[in-house]
Amino acid sequence: MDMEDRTDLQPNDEGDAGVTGLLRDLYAPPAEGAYWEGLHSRIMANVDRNRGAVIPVNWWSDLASWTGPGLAAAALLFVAAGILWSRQNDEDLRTTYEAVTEPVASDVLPGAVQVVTAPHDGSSQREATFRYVLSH
Amino acid sequence: MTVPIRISDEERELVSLARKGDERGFAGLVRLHQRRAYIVARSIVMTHEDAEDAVQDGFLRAYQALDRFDPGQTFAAWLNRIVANAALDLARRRKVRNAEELSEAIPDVFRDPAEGGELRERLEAALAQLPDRVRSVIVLHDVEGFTHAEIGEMLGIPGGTARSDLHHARQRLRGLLGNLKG
Repeated sequence: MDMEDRTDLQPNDEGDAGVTGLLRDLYAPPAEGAYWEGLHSRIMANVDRNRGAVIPVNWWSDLASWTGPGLAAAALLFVAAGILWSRQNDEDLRTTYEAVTEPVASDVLPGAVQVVTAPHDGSSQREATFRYVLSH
Repeated sequence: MTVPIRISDEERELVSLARKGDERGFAGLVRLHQRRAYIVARSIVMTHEDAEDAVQDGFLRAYQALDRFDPGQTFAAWLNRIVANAALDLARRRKVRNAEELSEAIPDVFRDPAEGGELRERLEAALAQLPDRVRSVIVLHDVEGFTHAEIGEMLGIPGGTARSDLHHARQRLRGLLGNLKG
């Protein structure tokens, strides 16, 4: 091992030489070339067998791959919710308008009743509603 | 201090081939890195057989994630982390499956168990009593010479924690082995 690898050792952190020697002996990888040839073949065969399988490397990198589709789905949901909200708002406005402009039976309201009908000249329903409310 | 990234032309070429889907590229990378990958896995799991399984799993994960490999780092550092994760996953599964048996087991070594005699057996028994991460740190440091920073990156812990684990491992081994020198 070169000196660069050992520079992060504390001055008194060198292991017991005997223990270190035994550790190296105990954990030494197999030395025979045939063993490594065999392992190489097994690794490549395993890759061939599982080429299509999806195995996450790390959960965070797996999550990262979903960021794009997730954002797109969120944007679509936002647009859809906006359209629904807008439609609902128009519906409420129309209901209010109709409730206000609908002819009322004379026995319900005493006296003269001014009946306002929906304009045919293209002016907005909202404006007509507003005028009716102001005149009463 | 910034450590320059050392990546050989051969490795760069192999990575490039592998990313294009050329199997010879990945086969070459396996040949280059399988020995060290085995050492990383073996430092984490308790047996030679589990180390082999973790290496195979690690290479498969690396193959499937090649498009996410950042060419700005070394392939070895990236691969070692993946193999370490595969080994940690395997160690966790083993622990859950057979906790009691594992706590009493003496590590199954690849080499002839008779070789080395009593001291070796005592070392094996002492190592089996160390927490997994602490054992991995001392093996990675002493057997293969990884730095604290490299070990930290592999095991997903800060380099300072790896340093402290190493110190802890030495103390524990000295205590457990007693008069080893004698």
